[in-house]
Amino acid sequence: MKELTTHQFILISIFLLLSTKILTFQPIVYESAQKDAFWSILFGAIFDLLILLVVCFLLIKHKDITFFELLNKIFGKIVSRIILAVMFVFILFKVVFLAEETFSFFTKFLYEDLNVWVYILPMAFVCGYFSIKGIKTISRTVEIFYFFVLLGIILCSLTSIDGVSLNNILPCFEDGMHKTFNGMLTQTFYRGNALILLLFMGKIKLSKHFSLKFLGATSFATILVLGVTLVFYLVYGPSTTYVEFALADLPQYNPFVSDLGRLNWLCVVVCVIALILTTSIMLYCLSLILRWTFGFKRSLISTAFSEFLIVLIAYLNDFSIILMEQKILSSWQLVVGIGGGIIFILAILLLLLRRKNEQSVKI
Amino acid sequence: MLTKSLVKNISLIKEAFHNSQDIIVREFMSFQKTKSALIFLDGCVDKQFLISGVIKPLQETKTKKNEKINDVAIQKIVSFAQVSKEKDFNTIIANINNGFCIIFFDGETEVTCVGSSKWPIRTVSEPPTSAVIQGPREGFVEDITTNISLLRKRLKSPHLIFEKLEIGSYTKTQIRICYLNGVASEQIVQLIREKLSKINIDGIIDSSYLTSFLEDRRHSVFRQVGSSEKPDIVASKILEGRVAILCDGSPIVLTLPYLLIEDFQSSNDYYSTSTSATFLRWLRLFGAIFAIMLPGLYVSMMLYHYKLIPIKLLISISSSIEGIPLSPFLEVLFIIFLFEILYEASLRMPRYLGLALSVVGALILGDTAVKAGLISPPAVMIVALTGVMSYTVPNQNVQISILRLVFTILGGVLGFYGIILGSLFLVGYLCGMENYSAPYFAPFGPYVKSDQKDGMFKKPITDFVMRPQSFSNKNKVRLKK
Repeated sequence: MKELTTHQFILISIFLLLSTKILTFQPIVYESAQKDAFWSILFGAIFDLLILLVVCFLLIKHKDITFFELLNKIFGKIVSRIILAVMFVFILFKVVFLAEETFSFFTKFLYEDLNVWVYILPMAFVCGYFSIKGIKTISRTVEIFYFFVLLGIILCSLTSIDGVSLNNILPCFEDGMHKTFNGMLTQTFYRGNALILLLFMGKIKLSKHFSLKFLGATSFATILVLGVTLVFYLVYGPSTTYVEFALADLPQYNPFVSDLGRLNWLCVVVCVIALILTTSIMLYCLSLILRWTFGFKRSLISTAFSEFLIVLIAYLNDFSIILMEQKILSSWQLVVGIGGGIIFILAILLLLLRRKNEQSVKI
Repeated sequence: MLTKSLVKNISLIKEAFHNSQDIIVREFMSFQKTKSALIFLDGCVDKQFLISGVIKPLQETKTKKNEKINDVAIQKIVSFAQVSKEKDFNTIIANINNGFCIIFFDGETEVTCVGSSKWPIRTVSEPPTSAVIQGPREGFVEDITTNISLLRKRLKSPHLIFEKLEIGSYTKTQIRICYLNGVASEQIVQLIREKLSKINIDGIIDSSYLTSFLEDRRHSVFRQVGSSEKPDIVASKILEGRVAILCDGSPIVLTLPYLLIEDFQSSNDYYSTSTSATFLRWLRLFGAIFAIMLPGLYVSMMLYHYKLIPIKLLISISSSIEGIPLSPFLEVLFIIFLFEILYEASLRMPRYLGLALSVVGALILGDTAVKAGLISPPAVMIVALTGVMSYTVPNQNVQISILRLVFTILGGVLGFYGIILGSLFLVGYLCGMENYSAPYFAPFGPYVKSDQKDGMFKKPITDFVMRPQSFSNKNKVRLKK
């Protein structure tokens, strides 16, 4: 069933590409890439755009079947379930990270002392509601809020331009390219959100010039992230190490913005909305994978199970974004980020290879 | 089953009505030789018409040989009125209940039913709940026939259909499903028809009784069936492809499918310039948002995020709340309850007493409570302000009051986080609702581009080329250029 219009799908793509890269992303990359962090993120973005191209191609090519059906058709039941399991873990850790990112964001900006359960239970309720109601409800909600989120991000970045200094990123590649490469490795976990979009295959009413609209919009989102990144690094420079949240901290310490009033609160609202909606989208995807894999008929069960796993992992991780960051930068990065990415790319290659073989047999 | 004996037939009818005193039987000689009787309900028929239009002609006319008495009565004597021959006993009883006068002739097993009803009805006037500055001032009344004529007057088309239904085992309430054939979606009409015909209730007193049967989500706080007291509004909705439901005894006509945006549209918008209509719609939207959120925001700011309040304002508020025994959360809750109780009491009280009570409530109680140090002026001002704001969307007033309470509790318990979560949940809930396959939050969620011209930005009527796309309808083109 076609549940999404092209407009809705594009907005979901923008949310998925934006929301995970506006807070902790820039400070983390700076730790490993230092002054070359921006270039590192720029190269990383190119990798994301390449995945987007593959996703766009697959969405158009197989517009009438779901991703699960496609995997089943090409790889059979077992392999397709393995691929989905890898994807599940990949998204699961992203959601845990998002939830922890939001929690530490709250404890810094909104509450001096926030009980983790007071935070997690209402969040689980709202995100769970969205996941159970399905992508139709989520996409419609995204349609309501996207304008405010984009406006907030642009406003927060633009108003901080006053404090920029080019010296903070120039000269680039002073110590060679290894720092840039290190920074790119750090990003692995943040990248690859475009792969999640494959789960919406067969659910989109493709309009005319779909590829143009989709690639245009996602490029815009990528440019927006690069814009926020550039302004952030140009404003903070070496002191980035002491900053936790890129977009939220951008207007906070800027004298020009302080004169305007409490603009950072606008940013807080924007970030929270973006994070919760993105968490809901990812939770829906987890629930969808479980339904495909285990044949759950009710989304309530699959959502509840996914939420349980998220809370369990976050609990074992002490709900700490710092611990999570450390894990991401070490073992998890390898397992979840690179492993997932490689398996996926392999899967796509196999798919293309099999199609090529079929065509040659026909000839 | 009727017999040929007039006396027996009269007693049958009387028995059917358990010898009720308001059943009037008037026996007379018709066609100068036949014993006849008129039976009707007292107070429900036009007696003047009965004397001049029925009894007198029947007494004066002669019948020829082989002429059937009922045919003569129908064709020659009372042909100008709503008249029919009837054999079925239940239909005869139903006709008497509907204000018909029944003519029994001795020796006949058939009767003549004459539509002579004259119910006490209110004259057409401007509805008190939908007063307008510009535009038509006619309003629906409790009589369904008058309401039908008010709609017919505006939509002079053979495509305007009124489907008849009767609901209520005791009330036998007349219901009409009204739509434009070739414009309204057949699926929607069929769905409404099915839902209404399934109703098996003892009585329908008002059209509001029908709403619960027509709603998809019966426990939702939001109304899902549109209603209006104005024929111009209902006519315009029928033109858009909606279906109207008229109920005898109710001046409120229901319309379906219903979208939330309809409550932000006023009939005034279509009779004034598009710029002013746009301005007023935004005003209504902000009014509704502030009415829901402001107390919650105030509470959350005072309890958790006081840094958000500009310093000068914070000092001013702090000095005002000094010495107040209740926390801002309980204080606001207390005032909201007080406000709602005063509102409810003033509605139920006799008009003049209600006016006095509102003055006592607003001025004396509020002022005394502030002076006594029970509540603070900022909290009173915020609740009073939001109370007034909630009337920018009068049809959603109750919903706004409930949501205001919910958001105050969320703000008090979870602070800003609660309000953001609550807002997301509320929008998600509204986006997830569908009403007769029409998304409740359209044209915003989902975004329907062509319907934006009558959304928050109202465009001139010359731009209304297509019918709304947010719900299913036929014959999409409205304006041919």
